[in-house]
Amino acid sequence: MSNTLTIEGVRQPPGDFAIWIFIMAELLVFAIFFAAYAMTRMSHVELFNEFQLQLNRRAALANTLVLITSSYFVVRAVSAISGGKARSCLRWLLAAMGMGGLFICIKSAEFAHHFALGVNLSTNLFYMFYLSLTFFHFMHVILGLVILGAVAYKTRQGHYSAMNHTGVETAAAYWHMVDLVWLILFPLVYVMR
Amino acid sequence: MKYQSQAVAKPYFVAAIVLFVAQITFGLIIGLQYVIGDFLFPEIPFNVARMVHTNTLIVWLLFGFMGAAYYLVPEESETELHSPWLAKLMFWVFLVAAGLTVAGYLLVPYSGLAKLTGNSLLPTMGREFLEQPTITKLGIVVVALAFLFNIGMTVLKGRKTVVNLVLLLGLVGLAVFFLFSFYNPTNVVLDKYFWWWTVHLWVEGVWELILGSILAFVLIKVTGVDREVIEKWLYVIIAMTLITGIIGTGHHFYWIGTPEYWQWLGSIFSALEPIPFFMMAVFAFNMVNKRRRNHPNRVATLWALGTAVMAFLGAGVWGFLHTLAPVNYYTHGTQITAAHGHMAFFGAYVMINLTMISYAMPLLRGRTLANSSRQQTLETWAFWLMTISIVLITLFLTGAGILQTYMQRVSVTPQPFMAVQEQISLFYWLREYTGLVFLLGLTLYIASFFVGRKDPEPAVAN
Amino acid sequence: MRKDDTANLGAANRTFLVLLALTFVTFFAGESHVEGVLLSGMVLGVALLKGHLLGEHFMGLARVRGVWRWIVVIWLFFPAMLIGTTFVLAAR
Repeated sequence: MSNTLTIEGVRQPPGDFAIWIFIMAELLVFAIFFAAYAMTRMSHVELFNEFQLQLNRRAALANTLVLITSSYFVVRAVSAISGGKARSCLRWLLAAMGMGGLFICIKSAEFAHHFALGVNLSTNLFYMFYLSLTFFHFMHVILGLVILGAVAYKTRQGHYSAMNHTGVETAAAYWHMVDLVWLILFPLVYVMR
Repeated sequence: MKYQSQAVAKPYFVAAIVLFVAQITFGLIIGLQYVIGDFLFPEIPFNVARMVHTNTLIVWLLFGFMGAAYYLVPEESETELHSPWLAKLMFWVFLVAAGLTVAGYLLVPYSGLAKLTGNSLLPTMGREFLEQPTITKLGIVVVALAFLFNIGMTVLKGRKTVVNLVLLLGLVGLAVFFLFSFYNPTNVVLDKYFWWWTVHLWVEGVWELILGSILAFVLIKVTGVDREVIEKWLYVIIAMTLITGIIGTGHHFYWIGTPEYWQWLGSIFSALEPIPFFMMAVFAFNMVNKRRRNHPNRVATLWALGTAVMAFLGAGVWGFLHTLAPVNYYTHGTQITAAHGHMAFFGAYVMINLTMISYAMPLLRGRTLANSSRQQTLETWAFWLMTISIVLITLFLTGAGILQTYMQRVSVTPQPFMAVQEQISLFYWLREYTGLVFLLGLTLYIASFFVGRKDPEPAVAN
Repeated sequence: MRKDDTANLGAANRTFLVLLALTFVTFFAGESHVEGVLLSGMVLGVALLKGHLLGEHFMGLARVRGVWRWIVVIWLFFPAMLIGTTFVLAAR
C-alpha cells in the first residue's frame, strides 16, 4: 500500500479494496434499518418516546466512549505498523480488542436487564427495533473482534511490516465502520425524541 | 482433468441432464394443464405432475452439485478423491432411489404410496417440495453423509483453499438443514415455520455458498485471474449472503401465524438479499474483463456470466419485487411467486450447474481444454434459447400475476379465483409456447454433446 | 513517509478528543429538558459531524482523492435526510 502513497494522496481508501465493497453493503443494510426505524416512529411518536426514556443512557454513553477509544487504539496500531513497530502494533490491537470486549459486557448487561423484565421482540414496536437494531450491531462488534483477533495473531507471527500491512488496515477499516454505525445508532435510538 | 478420480463426476452430470429433461417434460405437461384442465386426466393429474416437475428439479440440481464437488474438490485439494468407489456406489443408490420415487409418484396414488412406504412410522410426507416418502428421505441422508465424508476426507488430506472450504461449508449446511424435513410438528404454524428452515435456508442460504464457490472455481480456470483476488470476492459475497439471507427467512413468516416482528425483520433483511447477487454479477464481469488468457472454452465463460446476471435478475430483482410485507400482503401465492421461482431457480442453480458441466464435461470426455467450435456454437444457441425463453416465461407469469393480484385482491370489485384464472389464460398459453422454445434449447444443448464431437478443438488464442 | 504519518497521528489525536467531547454533548443534551425538533436537530447534527470526523481521520479518507473520499459523507447524508425529515414531520 505504502508504495502508492504520494504527496497528492491515494486513489483508494486504506486497506484491501474488497473490504470497502463489503463496508458499503453493510452501511446500506444499517441505513435501511435506520430509515425503517425513523419512518415507523413517525406514526408511533408517543410510544417511541415513552419507551426510549426507559433505556439506560449512561450505559450507552459509556459504550460510545468505549467504541471511540477502541477505534482510536486501532488508528494507533496502524500507525505503529506503518512505522515498522510490530510489537507496539500488537499491543494497540489487543487494547482495542479489550475495549471491544468491554462494549460486549456493557451491552450484554443491558440486554440481561431487558430480558429480566420480560421484554422481547413482541413487547412493542419500539423494543422490536431497539432489540433487533442493537443486537444486529452487537453481532457486528463480535465479527469485528474476530477480524481484529485474526490480524493480531498474524501480527504476532510477524506477517506485517512497514512496507506490507494491508491486512491491519483492512481490519481497521472494518472496525471503524462498526464504530461509525454506532455513532448514528446511539443518538437515534437512545437520545433523539 | 488432472486427477483420475475426478472421472466419477461424469455419471452424476449425465444423470442430472437426464432428469433435467424429465423436469422440462413435466413442466410442459402442467403448463398445458393450466389451460386444458383435463389433459392426461386421470393418468397424470396436475398435483402429481407438478410434484414430479419440482422434485426432479431438486434432485437433478443435487446430482449436479455432487458431480461438481467430485470434480472440483480433488483439483482444488490437489489430491485424488478419498474413495472413488464410494462415490460410484452412492451414485447408483441415489439414482435408484430417485427413479423408484418418481415411479411411485406416477404409478401409485399418493396416499397409497404413503401407506406402501410406511409413512405412519415416521410421518414426513405431504409437504410441498418434500413430498418424498420417508424411506427416500433416509436414502438422501445416507447418500449425503457418504458424500460429505468422501469430500471432507479429500479436503482434509489435501490443500485447503477458500473455494473448497466454502463449498464444503455449503454442502454441510445443505445436509444439516435437510434434517428439518424429518421434523413434522402437528401444529400447522410450527410445521410451516420449520419447513422453511429446509426450503429457504437451502436456496437463499447454503446453496448460494455452493453457487459462489463453483462460480469462483470456473472463473479461476477460464480467466486465469489470481486466486487471491477471486477468493477475496468470494469471502465478501458469502458474508453478505449469510448476513441478509439468514434473517431474511422472515419474509416467509408474514402470514403463517408467527409474531408480527417478522414482517419487519423479514422485509428489511430480505430486501437486501439482492446485494450478494449484485456483487456476484459485478465480480464475474470484473474477473472476465481482467482475464489473463482467452480460454478456448468460450461457452463456459458465457454460462458463468449468464449465471451471475440471471441469478441477480431472478433471485435478486424478482425476489425483491414481492418481498416487502405490505406488497406481499397482496401478491402472496400469486403467479408473481411462480415468476420469481422460475427465473431464480434457472438463473441461479440451473445455470451454475450448466456452467460447471460446460467447463468440466469436455475434459471428462477426453478433450484437453474445450469442445470443438461446432459443439460450442450449438451450446451457445442452447444458452440463448433457454435463457431468453425463461426471461419470457417470467415476464408472462409476472403479467399474469399483476393482473391476478389486481382483479382478485386489489380491485374494488374483487373476483373469485377461477373467474380470474380464465381471464388471464392468454398469459398461460404464451408461457406454454415459450416452454416449447425452452425445450428446443434443451434439445440443442443435448445435441451439442454429440454433433461435432469428432471435430478438433479450437485453436488456443494467446 | 514518517513525517506524513506523524501529521496523521496528530489529526487522529485531536479527532479522538473531539469525538469524546461531542459524545458528552449528545449525552447531556439527552439529559436536559430540551425536547423535540431542537434536541433531535442538534443531536443529529453532532452525530453527522462525528461520523465525518471518524471517516476523515480514523478511516483515513482525508488522504484519499476521488470518489472514495466521500463514501462516508454520502452514506451519512441519506439516512440523515430521512431521519431528519421524519422527526420534523412527527413533531408537527
